[in-house]
Amino acid sequence: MRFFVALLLWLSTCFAAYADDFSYADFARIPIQHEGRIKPMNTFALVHLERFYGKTRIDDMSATQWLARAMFDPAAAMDQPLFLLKDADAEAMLNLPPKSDHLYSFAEATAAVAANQKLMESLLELSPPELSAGQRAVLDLYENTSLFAQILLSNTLFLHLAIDVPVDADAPPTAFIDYYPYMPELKKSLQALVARKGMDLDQYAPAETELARGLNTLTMTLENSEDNTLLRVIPPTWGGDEWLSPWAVFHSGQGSPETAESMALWRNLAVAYQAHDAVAWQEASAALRQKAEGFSGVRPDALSLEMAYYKWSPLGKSMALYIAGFVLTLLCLSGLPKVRVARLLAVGAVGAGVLLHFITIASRIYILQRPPVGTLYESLLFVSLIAVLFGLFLEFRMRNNLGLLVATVAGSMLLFASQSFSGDDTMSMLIAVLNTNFWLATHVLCITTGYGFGLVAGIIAHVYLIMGCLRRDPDRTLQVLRGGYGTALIALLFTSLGTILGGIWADQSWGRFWGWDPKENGALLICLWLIWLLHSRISGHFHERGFAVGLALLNVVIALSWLGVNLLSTGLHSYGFTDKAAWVLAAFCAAEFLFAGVTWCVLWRRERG
Amino acid sequence: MKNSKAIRWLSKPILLHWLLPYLMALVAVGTVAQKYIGLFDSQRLFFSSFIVWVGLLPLPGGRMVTALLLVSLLTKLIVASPWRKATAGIFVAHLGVMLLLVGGLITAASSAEGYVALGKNDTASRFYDYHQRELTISKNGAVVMQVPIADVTKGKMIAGDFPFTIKINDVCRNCTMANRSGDAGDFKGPAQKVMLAPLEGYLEDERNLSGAEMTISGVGTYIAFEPMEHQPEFKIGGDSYAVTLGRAAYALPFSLQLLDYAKEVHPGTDVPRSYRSTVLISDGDLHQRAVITMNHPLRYKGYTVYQASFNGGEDTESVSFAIVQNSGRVFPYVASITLCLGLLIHLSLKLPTLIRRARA
Repeated sequence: MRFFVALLLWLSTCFAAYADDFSYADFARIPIQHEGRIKPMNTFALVHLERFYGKTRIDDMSATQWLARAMFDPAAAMDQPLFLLKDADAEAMLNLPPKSDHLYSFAEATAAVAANQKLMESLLELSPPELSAGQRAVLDLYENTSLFAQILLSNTLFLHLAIDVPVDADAPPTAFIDYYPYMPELKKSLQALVARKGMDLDQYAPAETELARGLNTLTMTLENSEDNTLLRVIPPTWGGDEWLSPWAVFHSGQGSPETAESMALWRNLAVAYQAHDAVAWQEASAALRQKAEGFSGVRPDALSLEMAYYKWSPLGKSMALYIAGFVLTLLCLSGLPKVRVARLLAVGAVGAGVLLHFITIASRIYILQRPPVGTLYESLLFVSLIAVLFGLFLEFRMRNNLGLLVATVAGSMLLFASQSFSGDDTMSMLIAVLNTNFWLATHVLCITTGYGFGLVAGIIAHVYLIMGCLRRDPDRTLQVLRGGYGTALIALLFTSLGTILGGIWADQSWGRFWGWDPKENGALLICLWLIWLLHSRISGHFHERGFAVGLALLNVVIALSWLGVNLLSTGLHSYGFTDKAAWVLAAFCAAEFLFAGVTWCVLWRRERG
Repeated sequence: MKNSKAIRWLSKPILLHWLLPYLMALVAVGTVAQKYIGLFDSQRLFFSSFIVWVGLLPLPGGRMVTALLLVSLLTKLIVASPWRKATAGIFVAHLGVMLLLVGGLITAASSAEGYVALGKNDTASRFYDYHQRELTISKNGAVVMQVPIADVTKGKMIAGDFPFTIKINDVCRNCTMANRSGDAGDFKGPAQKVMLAPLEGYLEDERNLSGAEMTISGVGTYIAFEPMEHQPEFKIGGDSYAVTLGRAAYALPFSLQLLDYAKEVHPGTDVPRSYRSTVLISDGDLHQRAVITMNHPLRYKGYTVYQASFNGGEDTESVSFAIVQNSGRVFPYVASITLCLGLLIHLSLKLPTLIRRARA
């Protein structure tokens, strides 16, 4: 509470400035170490703005502009509506005035948090599963304001303070860093003043009041900066691989001539922003960027690629192309005139989509320097690429629009599902046991490839069942199912190999091949399901209808094994995601069962005549 | 024999058709059950059991289903696998599955796994079971009798080659200590001041701390509790006896000393990047240093030593190693290669006819 009140008071002591005609190209490229990875400032800004505001722009202000303003003009930034709080319960708990846009400024949010300190303390003692959605939103707001406070205070070392305390220096000091050497002297003067005139400010002359106020500001600046570590922009010229924030450099005394140079450049940047000096801003940001990029361990080409990745967002475009391809494929199947044109366009759309999809994954491999799948999000990207590529192969072999349908359905649905992860930096570092390129490249790629083929087989079964219900040509319908059978065989190859490789990895790192862990059992279930379908087809227990319904339900088995098991292990992913995902997953499974049941009944009745 | 009806029936996929859905249901139930009863109990109940009791109804457990599958597979391979080019892939793939199952069987029957926690410079020549606890009675430092915890039940009398009997008054799978009020009576040792109070068990069985209260004839009533340093010790006729309750221990044919350890995090975060320990193996005259990291265990004399966890938060106080002896560990490697080879052969023969353009 004291911290927040002090913070609000302090922020009002900074000179206000607003700059909007700066060039942000170099500033956006300055490397920063965040969550264990060196990334461009632009990514840091995007991730935080999305987290607070739910979008990556505020009206005409880019994320980088927003970040620069928060860092160098905190007084203005704290009044800007920023924190999105959509939960009505949370608004009521914090006594926040309801707003139509649900946006609250830092000043409003911190005041509400400070006024409800007891509520915060009680919520922090609850474990995540015990929290209601509203309580979770309150805690999120609390965390977000703390995070934003780190950003607001990150450059207070260099910012021009609105205080006027005379000290015995050649040049008049303006920022904390100038005043710091004189603080002991100022403290002595203030102590003498208090001894002489007491604590009552009314008894002080104007210059004496300014001394008391100025020293208070300086002390608060120092106190508020002690754990300011978020903005890790100073490369470790002292060795090791941990970058430090300007304040951390100041507090830890990690100095070197190189560090001093970086610190001076950051100061120039702050001064240029506050003075609204576009030329000086450009010079300072370009110099900072070049200096940090020259540091070993920074890969400028990876930073450029990451900038382009976020600027062009090839994945979103790829998804749009798949959706367009899907519509065009439906046109091809409709039997309307000009089908040939639609078919060519559909192939073109899927081809372009695959290219962008591939570029996305290749960029991530280059930026992160590891195989493409290490997280759930990445598995969605990879599985969809496999499904789309195999769809194209099917189309090339069978030329009956089946492959196009498979590619566009799998591509658009899986990429759509991946959008729910876009709130965080999706390029995250991996924990120790996953931090092995060999197993990521073998087991993980194998099993996710198996998921991809399995989903394709499932979609083909759907197509077969729909064609059967619509009384399409029996020969062509059967040809579709043969494709499904072949795909199921490939899926079995990859899932069983992937599962065994997973066991071998577990044997290598934990000492047991099989431990009946939910994720292992999930993979085993997919293999068993496929083995069951294929054998029962051979033994004659399943004819076309039964086999197709079973293959269609493979999608449910895959969804449960791939995503569903995460719901069993508490704390694996954020609870917000899990709650939502549980419902989506349940709805998906229900819809699949309904589809399988209805088509089975229709075909069964027809077979009985 | 080839014509025997039963053998022919066993070799067909019909058994598989009915067994697999049951096995899948068992796996699914056993997986979801982990959330409620923990991995250890779920594994014991569903996967490592021959019979699963649902009320009074006995259903086949994981081991029985696997055994039936193995028999079916074996008969298929022996009696119903004519060696033809068209089915060569299927034969090889089934051989791979069989190797996998046989490996599982050998592992289930012969492997020992456990852990040892070492502080810096500590040495160990034994390791401990994660789950199995034992009551050990020793005379002058030598073990006389070991009773698995499953046999240590309330009211049980334990007698053996020693001049007293032990009556178990109470036992708990997970206990804590509480103050004992009132007269100390016949209680001896720490039992004069404290008593055991049962706690709800953890789902992760390795976190449970077992304890028992027992009356030793002619001596007194004691408590034995896993984490307690001073467990019942007494003298009868010049011999000193000790009764201890603890994890079952296995001897290593060598000793292991922890020389150094290091944990690395991704810079600026708490996310661990790697764990590394340096140990000294001493085996007779042989002394050898080895480095153990995540994904890179130490293998020595049939034992494998893994980096399991660093204990004690930021200032690591000890390092836990998982130690496994498993004679079946080579099977998955051979099986996966065989299985893949088989499936690849089958796919290359079959796929061109399955995925192709419809004949006009």
